[in-house]
Amino acid sequence: MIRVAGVLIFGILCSARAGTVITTQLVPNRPGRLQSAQKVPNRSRPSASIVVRNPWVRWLPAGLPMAGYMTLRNTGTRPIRLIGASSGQFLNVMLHRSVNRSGVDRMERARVIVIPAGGSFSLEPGGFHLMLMHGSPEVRPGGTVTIELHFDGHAPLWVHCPVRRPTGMP
Amino acid sequence: MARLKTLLTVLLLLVLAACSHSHAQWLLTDVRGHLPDLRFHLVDDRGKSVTGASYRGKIALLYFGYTHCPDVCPTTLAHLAVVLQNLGPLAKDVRVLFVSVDPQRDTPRVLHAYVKAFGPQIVGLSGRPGAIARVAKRYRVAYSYGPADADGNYEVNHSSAIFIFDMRGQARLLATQQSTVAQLDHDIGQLLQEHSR
Repeated sequence: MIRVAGVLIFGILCSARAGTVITTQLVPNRPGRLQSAQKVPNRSRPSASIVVRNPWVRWLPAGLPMAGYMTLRNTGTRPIRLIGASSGQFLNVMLHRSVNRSGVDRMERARVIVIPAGGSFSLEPGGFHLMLMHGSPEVRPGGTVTIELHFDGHAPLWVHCPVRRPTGMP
Repeated sequence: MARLKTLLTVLLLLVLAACSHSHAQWLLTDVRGHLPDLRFHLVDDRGKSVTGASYRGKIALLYFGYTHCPDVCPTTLAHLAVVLQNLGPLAKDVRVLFVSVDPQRDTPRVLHAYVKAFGPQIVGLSGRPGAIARVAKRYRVAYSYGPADADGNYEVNHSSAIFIFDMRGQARLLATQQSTVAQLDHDIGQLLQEHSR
């Protein structure tokens, strides 16, 4: 009960303090079934005018968190807001940003990523990325991870990301 | 007067040329004499106790990080893996020493799986929190942990510098994430040459 209350309070604190620095979340391995955060996508919402280029995931061993990268191009005439992501192959997917201040690396939770109308936004090594936690053991280099991108006011978009070796080589 | 000026200019250029020939040109930051020698007492990713002296005879690249870091640490190690690959057979005399600042989670087993995924010359080092703190302090490396939440999650922030030591264990160069593969290969190549003379 106390644990649940603690999680709730943490969640409220996090959502209330948008833009707050939240560095890497280290979660001990917990048994449990992997599940997708968004079970039934809302088909009635318009599809996002987003073209995804060069998606990939950097695989890491020993059940460690991995990162996902891609470039999102907005071919529409209005900005599109990426508000989250999920995957059936990971327990938790977060939008993160690595920042280096005065020579110290830290990670920040990104609440929203805005892809400007007619413009692009890159999730790339050393910058914004998807942090993928508690992956299924089936996720291996050479395989594929399916990530669901959640956009504000639009239907989700499924992206198939090739899984590369830790060195980034295919 | 004009002839004297020309003569002086030529002389100055000759002096400058002589200087540049007698001193190697470094593309990374030259820290010779400004940072202490490679010295520590840690445990490697095979569970063996090691010291700075264990890596004498190798060019050592010291980097601080932790395995639960999904973006910056793997990106840096992947970058260094390319540097090592470019060195070809010379890479046998180079070691990347990845010191974990998260010893609570980075057991030798986890570290071993992690570093070997990047290449054979990459060594994971861990140890007691006090031993790690001493190494970090020695090179003025900052790291800090955020408070643990209800699930035991915590944050780790860490310094991004890469310290490069020559085969005698002397601190020579400082690289950052922005240092290019070409700069690293050039300077490491030059350090390797010093010892082959």
